[in-house]
Amino acid sequence: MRYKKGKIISMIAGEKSKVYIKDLKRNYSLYLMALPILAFYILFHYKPMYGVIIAFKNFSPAKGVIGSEWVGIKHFIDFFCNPYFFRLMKNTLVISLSTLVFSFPAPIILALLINEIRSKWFSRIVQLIVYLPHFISLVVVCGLILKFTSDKSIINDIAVLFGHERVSFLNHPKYFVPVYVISDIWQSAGWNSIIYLAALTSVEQQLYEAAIIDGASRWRQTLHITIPGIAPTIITMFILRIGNMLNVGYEKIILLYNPVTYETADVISTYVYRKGLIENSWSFSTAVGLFNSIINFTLLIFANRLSRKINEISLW
Amino acid sequence: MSRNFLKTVIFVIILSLFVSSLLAGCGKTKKTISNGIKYPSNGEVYPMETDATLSVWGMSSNSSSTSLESSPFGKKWQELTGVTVEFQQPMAGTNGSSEGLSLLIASGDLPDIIISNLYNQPGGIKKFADDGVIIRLNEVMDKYAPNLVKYLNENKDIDKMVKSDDGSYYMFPFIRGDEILSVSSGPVIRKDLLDEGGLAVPETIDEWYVALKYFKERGADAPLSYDFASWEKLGVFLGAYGVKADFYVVDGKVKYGYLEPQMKDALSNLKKWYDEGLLDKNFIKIGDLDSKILTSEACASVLFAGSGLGKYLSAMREKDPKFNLVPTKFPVLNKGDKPMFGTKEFRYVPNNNGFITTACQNVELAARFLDFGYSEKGHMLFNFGIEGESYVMEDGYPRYTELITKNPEGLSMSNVMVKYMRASMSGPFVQDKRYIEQYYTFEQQKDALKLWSETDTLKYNIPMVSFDEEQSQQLSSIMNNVKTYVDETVFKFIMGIEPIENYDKFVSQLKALGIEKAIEIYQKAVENYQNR
Amino acid sequence: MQISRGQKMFNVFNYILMIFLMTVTLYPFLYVAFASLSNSVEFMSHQGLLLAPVGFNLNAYKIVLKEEMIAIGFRNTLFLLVTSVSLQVTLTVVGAYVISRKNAILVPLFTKLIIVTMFFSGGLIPFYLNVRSLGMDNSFAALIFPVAINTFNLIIMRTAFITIPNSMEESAMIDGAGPVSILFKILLPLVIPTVMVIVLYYSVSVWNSWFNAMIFLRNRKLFPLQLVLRETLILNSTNAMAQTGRDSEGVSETIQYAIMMIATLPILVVYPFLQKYFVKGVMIGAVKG
Repeated sequence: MRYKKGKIISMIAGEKSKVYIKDLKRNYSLYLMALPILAFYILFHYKPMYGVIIAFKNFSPAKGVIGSEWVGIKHFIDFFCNPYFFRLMKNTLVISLSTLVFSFPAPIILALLINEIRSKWFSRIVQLIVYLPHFISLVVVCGLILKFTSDKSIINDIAVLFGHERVSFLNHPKYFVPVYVISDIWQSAGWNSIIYLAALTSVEQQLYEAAIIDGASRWRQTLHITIPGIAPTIITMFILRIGNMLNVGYEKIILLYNPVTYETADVISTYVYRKGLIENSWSFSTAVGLFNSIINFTLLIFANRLSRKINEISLW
Repeated sequence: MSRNFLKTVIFVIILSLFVSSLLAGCGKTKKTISNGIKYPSNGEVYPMETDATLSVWGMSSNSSSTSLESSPFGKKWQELTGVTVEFQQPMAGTNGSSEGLSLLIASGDLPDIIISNLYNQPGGIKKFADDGVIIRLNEVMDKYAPNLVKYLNENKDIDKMVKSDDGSYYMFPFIRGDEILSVSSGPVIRKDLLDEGGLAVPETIDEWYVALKYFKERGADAPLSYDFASWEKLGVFLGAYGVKADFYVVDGKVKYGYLEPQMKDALSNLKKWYDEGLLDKNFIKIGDLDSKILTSEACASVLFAGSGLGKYLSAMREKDPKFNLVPTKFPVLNKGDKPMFGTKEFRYVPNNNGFITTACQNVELAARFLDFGYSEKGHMLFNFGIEGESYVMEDGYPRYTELITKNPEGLSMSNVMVKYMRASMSGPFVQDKRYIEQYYTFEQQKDALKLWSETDTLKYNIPMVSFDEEQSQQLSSIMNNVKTYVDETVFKFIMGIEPIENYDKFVSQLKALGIEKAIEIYQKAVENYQNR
Repeated sequence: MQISRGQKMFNVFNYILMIFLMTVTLYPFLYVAFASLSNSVEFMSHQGLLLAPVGFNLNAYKIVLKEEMIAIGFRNTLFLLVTSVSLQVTLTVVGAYVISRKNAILVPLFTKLIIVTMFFSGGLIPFYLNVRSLGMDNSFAALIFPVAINTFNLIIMRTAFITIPNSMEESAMIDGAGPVSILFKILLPLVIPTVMVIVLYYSVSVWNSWFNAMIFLRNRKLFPLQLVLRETLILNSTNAMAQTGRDSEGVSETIQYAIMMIATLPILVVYPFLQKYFVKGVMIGAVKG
């Protein structure tokens, strides 16, 4: 009788629900722990998400989200059809990819190098100092960049020694991206290396000991123990970075660019920012943001899938 | 460790929740309905006696240390009007006010009074009225704002600027009481160096050329160093040729500077100066102007009287007493001409204007409160502060005390002024010129006001027009692209990267971007304005 | 243990490189420090690099520290630092633990739902209205709760949990331990370095935050430090003056640098306390068997 009942229930409710019920019974305290976290996301992220529809309306604060009139995809058309669209996309991608290729590995390499320092106190001092630029406000950093790239600066003095002419770097479109990327490395490598340093401490000491017994050099140890040991961290950070591909922020560029360098420096966010200075373009910037998000999210899913296939490391 | 840690954390969280909810009470709006206003028995209006309070949002200042409710000015304002005010002061500065304003309106929780710049918002002031945020003031003013009404009646030109195309009034305006207050920036040059070379202060473009060449030979690396983009919108050196890098009106017709033929000549002239090294190579983005001027690397520029001229003069006062940076008239082509453009502004300024919202339950009180600034007592408070403390009357002239001019705590004049008055800022009152006479202490600054005022620019500037929402959106769409293109291309002509012969291609591209439609929109707005 | 010639050379090269990096990264900080200690007039005429304060004086600091709002800002930020970071770290650790579990069916769903929020949001206005509707407007609650979890940090924490092999967890489960004790008694000690990283990240973020305070606070007594400082800097920059057409003396640059030092120095001391968790040689990371 009992056997039959169970079979009937599972026939009615489906095999799957049996699995769910078993899972609930087993993990209920885990799910309970998750409640405050889920509550947070529902309350502060999902509840206000309806605002995305502003992208399809002509939003006016007085009329509110519901009361503002629909304009369909007008803002998207404005964005795609404006004469600078291709340039903005190109510049955004160039800056983003350059940062990815050069600025992403830098903190990893730095962490590995710091890891090699034998002297503990020297290591601590290095760590303490290299993270400092992160804390200097962007305005000061850009002021310093302007000083160092001017045609009277030390860098130009050195260039003259090598036989080059004096150049005011930020007045030439072709130098904008290199200046941007190099200064980005300088400002963020130290700070970003912290997470990798933390990951390094969790690599098992015993693996190193075994490798040394086998006669492996430090370089081979790094290649076969250290890097695989922090690989999950690296790959996770990489995937997240890909998910930010179109997010090139406007603040730093605004401080560094000028009309001379628009052709390589003007990105999506700076264009939207300038538009926002002339009008309260809530809807337009939401539309552009939505466009960015969709592309970023697609890239993220793609990167995550790839990572799962290759390394079995995935975000979900 | 883990259990106890968890316990501590939970305790701290609960404690903070408790405390923050207590503090939440600090910001609540107290709204009481008035049970009438009692006016003093001597026929005066102020101070009023009432239980009602007013909530006032905005009124940004330039110093974060002044919260209106605790500053002497804020307290006196309430005392003299008899009204208790709840000041809501979000972060000041351009970011704060514009976003803050939109959020305020979106929240639906409007204060009684908004003191801010609504004119420069898209759709202008009319939009706020149409959207049901602020009320029309015509009847209200007639009944409860006699001081403002009197002033507008006596100053018909201001009245025209303040009312809308259809004759409606919406704000308690900020007005510069005298023309001399309307200008604060202009060209400057090193007179001490000119004297050494036996040169007079230049007035024409040719004289400027000679002066700059002299500076260059003397060793200055960037004789003229000024920010082209911001200043030529007002037409400083371009103005000599009768154009400026913006819209303007000639004989009732709206023009855009870059479309005019004279612009080619004006740019050619700057190109000549650039080629001969007379113009700062980095004129697109000037850096280090401070050190350039103080080390004589730059000998001429365009500056503000206070933050530019005043700053450098006081910096060099001890180091090099001969250092003499003086203001000049805006340059012209022919000697004796009056400059067509300049930096003079209209006497009505949209900053920190007072508006009454639709949420205000006691319009009479709000109007009386805002009208105070235009009354005799209010005028003195807003311009000079508290009698006996920040100023004293000397033979009928309000003289700032040493508390202001030589502050014992070492605060700068503008920082201490903000605690006692609004003269150096803006607000719902009429600015008195006797403030500026004492604020600018250097002779050069006082001369500057006179010299920089001598232009016809008010005749040619676009007046205080208003656009409706559709026009406003169209205009900003077109201008965003036009501005990007203009900024990028004009410097190429000056630097010679693009031959000036191609100027016509530049003009056709502007037309392709829709500049003529923009001119049309302005034209209509100007015509509406003239018909007010 | 033999160290090869190649390795010796590498070590030397490494030390030289580190010294170079330290110079280059320390310098801008020194620049700000020197500028803040300089005489304002001399600083204005100075060109090029600063190798020491020009005309050493403390005036800039004296003026800034007299402002009452600075003290108020400090006090508020300290309070927020303690309360906000505690909440953030707790929720992040617990949340990361949950979404790192491999044999719970709902977990991938939770994770996806959470990550989606990194990409799609309703924008400023709904966010603002939402916080108001929860009754948090014009109070510290608006500064604490909406930022209680940073998804990026959550994922970092999750990665740390995932790296731990199952063996520890399984033996505990056999002993009958529930998820709470597994998390706190067994796993937490193993991920301390990463926990310290997110303590650092959240602390710096709370210290630097001003935007939410800007839009939600109208009571100046609640302003956090960065908002006070930002307001001062912005209002006195030439940009602001050009845009509003208003002229004033402006704040001397040295004062602006003093403000930046005050804005930055205090948070720098947090790192040395956490640093011992990141320095090689700490044995906490060792896992047996």
